[in-house]
Amino acid sequence: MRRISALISVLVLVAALSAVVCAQDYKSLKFDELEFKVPDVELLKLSNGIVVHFYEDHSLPLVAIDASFKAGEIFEPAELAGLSEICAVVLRSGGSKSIPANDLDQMLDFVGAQLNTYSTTEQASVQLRVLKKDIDLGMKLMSQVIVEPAFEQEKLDIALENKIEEIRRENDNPNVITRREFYRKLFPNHPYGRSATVANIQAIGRSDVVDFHAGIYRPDNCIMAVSGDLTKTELAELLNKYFTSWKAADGPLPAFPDLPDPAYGIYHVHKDINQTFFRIGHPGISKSNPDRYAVEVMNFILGGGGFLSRMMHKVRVEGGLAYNVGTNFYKMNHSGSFYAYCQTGPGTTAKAIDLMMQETRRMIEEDVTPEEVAVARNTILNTNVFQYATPHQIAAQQAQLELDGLPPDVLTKRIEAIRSVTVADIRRVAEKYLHPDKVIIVSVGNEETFDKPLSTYGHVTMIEVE
Amino acid sequence: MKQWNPLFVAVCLSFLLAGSVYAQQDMQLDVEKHVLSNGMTLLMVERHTAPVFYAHITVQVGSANEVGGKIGAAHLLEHMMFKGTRNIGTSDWQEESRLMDIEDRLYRRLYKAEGEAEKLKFIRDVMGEDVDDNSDEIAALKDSIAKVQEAIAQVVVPNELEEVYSTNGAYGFNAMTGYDATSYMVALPKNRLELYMMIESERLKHPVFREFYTERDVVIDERRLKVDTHGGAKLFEQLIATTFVAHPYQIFWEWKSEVGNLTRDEIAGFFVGNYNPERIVLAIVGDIDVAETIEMAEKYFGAVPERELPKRIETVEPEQIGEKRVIVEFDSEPMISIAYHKTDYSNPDDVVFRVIERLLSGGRTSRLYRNLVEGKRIALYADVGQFPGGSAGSLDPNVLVIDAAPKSPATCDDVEKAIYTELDQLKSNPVDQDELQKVKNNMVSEFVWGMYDGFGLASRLADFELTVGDWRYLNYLRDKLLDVTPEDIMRVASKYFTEKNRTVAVLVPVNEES
Repeated sequence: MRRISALISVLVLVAALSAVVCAQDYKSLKFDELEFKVPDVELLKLSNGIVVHFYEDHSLPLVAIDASFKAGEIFEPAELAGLSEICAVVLRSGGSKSIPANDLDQMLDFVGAQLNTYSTTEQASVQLRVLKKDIDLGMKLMSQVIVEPAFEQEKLDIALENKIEEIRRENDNPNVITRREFYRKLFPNHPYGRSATVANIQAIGRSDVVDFHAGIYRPDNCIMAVSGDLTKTELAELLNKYFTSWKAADGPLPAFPDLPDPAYGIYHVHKDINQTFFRIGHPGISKSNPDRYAVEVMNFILGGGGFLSRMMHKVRVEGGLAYNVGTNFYKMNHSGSFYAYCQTGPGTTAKAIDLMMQETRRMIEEDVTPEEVAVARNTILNTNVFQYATPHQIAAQQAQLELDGLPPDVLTKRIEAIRSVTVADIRRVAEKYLHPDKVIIVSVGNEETFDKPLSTYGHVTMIEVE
Repeated sequence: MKQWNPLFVAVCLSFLLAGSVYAQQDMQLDVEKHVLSNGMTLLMVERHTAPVFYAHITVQVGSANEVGGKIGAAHLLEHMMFKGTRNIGTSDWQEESRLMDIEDRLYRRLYKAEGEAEKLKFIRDVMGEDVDDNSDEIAALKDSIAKVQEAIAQVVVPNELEEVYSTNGAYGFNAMTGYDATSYMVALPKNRLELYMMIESERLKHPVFREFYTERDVVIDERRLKVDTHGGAKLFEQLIATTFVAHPYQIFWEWKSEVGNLTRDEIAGFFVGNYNPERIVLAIVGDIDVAETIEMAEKYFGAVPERELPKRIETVEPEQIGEKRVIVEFDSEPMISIAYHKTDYSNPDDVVFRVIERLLSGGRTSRLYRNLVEGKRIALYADVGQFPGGSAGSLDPNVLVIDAAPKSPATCDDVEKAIYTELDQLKSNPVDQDELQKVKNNMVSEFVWGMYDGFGLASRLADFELTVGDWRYLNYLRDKLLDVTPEDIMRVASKYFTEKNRTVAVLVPVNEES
């Protein structure tokens, strides 16, 4: 194990509000500068390739550990969509080669330890939350499930049945339908756009799960974030004891499948409800896109900045049309999505769509004001400290950068970049990354009661759901 | 935002486990309490792990304090509290105030004319008389309203409250309306403490309910979004409406017909009648200095006027006299919810319920998970919670609710029977010591993790202080939990989990095409 130099030191100076001559009291307040230095994170590397980002904090007798893997749905075979999630679920529920599943649950529950697993599009993680006094047991059981899971057949069967039941229930939730169908059209037949079907889950067998685990959950693909009431020496000993015997696997990870063209168009799911749920969008940007900071500020002004965004203002505050409205650039490693979302009454559906399209076009056609840029910039810069508000966030931020293949100084660079974004930058990225005339619209609701037919916007394809 | 959180936040301290597998850990919460000159309570926890503070204001008034015809007042008021003050959100409050009065008068005339129009329509369509309608008058009133709203827009500074907070680094700026309490929360960098005090005290001193009519529409939309389109919420709404005969806990969400008719004056009246400093707790957790915080709080919050304190009426729910069942037909997969009347926080049985909840649900070794999700494999989930209930419980007797979804081909009937089998087990067989110890160990772990999150800790302190009257009830609760025995569990289960005391709601799928 060798020590790599301490990583980052971001100095965030939170700008003092300029005093404006005005009768309003709060504007006369002046603030001392908040000098905030992101605490250093220790980096440990094990001989088998595991990388550990560690932040020591003794304020509470707790330890948090995340072990994350570049895995997730991107490596699933198309016909076995859902395999990554099933693997993560049964990794935890299916016991280990030396401890039967029910005993393992009992050992963890008895000390109030949480050991949970997650799988998302591009990564999977195993997370431990444990009292300091139980760290040895927690770490031992965590390594057991990661390194030698048993995937007991009965627990696998339960996981498959539960997933099938969840899929059967997906169509009960209009939000879920809207999101699922939007991504299916945005990235057709690609892991970025796929949602598991009942047939996919029924096709998964135990050997698929075992193989998926062997290919993805390996030490050279494992990045850990550890925080809490441990010294570096204690952590090194625990890692040695439970993780160094884990053998590195041979061969590269599976290749990332090529991205497909989106299936642009208007899609509607009929549901007899008194609310319309919709998304309008198209491909966005990846996590490493050089314009991502200007896009962040641009999106804040358009629809990402909550009540300070133009869309929330037009649709909710002025219009009273909807409780929930906004836009998002969701960034992944190889691509991303841009979408505007809203839920409104059926009789105001077209009105909301029109307002949202209009605001999107206005970003391209007109410059934003310097005041809007300042509001977005100050909000992003001044809330930055909350990215590091808990000890675990400090360690997890660095681990995530490593997982995403981004350099460790990227957080410092982000602050500098946000500070220098101009009105012209925003116009440029709006023109480049917003395409209101080439979109996918997915709506769910009762189209017979809309204020204008959806076909006003073009040909509508109906999607049948059970 | 309005939130129902049935999940019980377990609290107790770890030395209750001295002598068990646990080493003694002296996890004491160090809370400073200060009562301001006007009766408002300030609770503070110094935490220097990050240069930020988490602030949580809880007012002891919620939807259970609303009166018939005005259901939704607490929730709409919570929304209106984000619209600013006399200083924030306007360039000329006096002019704005004059114009808002005109706006209100015009709306009153419009509603009157719209009522008149319905009568005229009846006379014309049903009685066949040839009468003129009053559409011209209605159009003229709408036109006048549009004009006055344009004039108001000239002096309103939209979203100023949001903007001040956001640009100063606010995190988690939000609010929640519950049954017994309404909470307002935000976190800020530590150098913004005075800004926080100034703004929040202004909101409590002289809020301005601007943009009232559009916000009322937003609240109506929130119901469609969160209740009308979700089978689980529809089921729950019917469950508690059936469970409670008299108590205001019976209303899950305000109805459009009532909230849609609330006036600005009524909201102002609800505010003045309920937002009294004596019923407000401010809990701050974070990088603060206690002495400085007290001084600042006296300066700002100390000036919040004492208002008349209405007597709190507790509607006593009559004893249930037989099992009740309700069916909800909805286009959704089946679900089942079962409610049992129980006690409020002050009854000793309430502590036993906390242990029972954890024996039944929350974790892979809990009984409902082990035996229904695994074991019989008939449920997707089966969870237990209290309703309504914050971390400290409820002011008046509430219900224990079991929510479950059958896993096809199992049915609600199968799941219901299996749940009763588990409840009967609690009545007839003493819980073994290991299982009881496990529940207590879990509560210890949750207590310590509960201190990790600044918002969670601030909210829990404010909740205990208001519900019970003293945040230190956290400590008493710990002692009481230690005392819970297998016999207590059998006694409480036998007393409350009876057929007569339960209400069952079942969601039956209805496909619209069939």
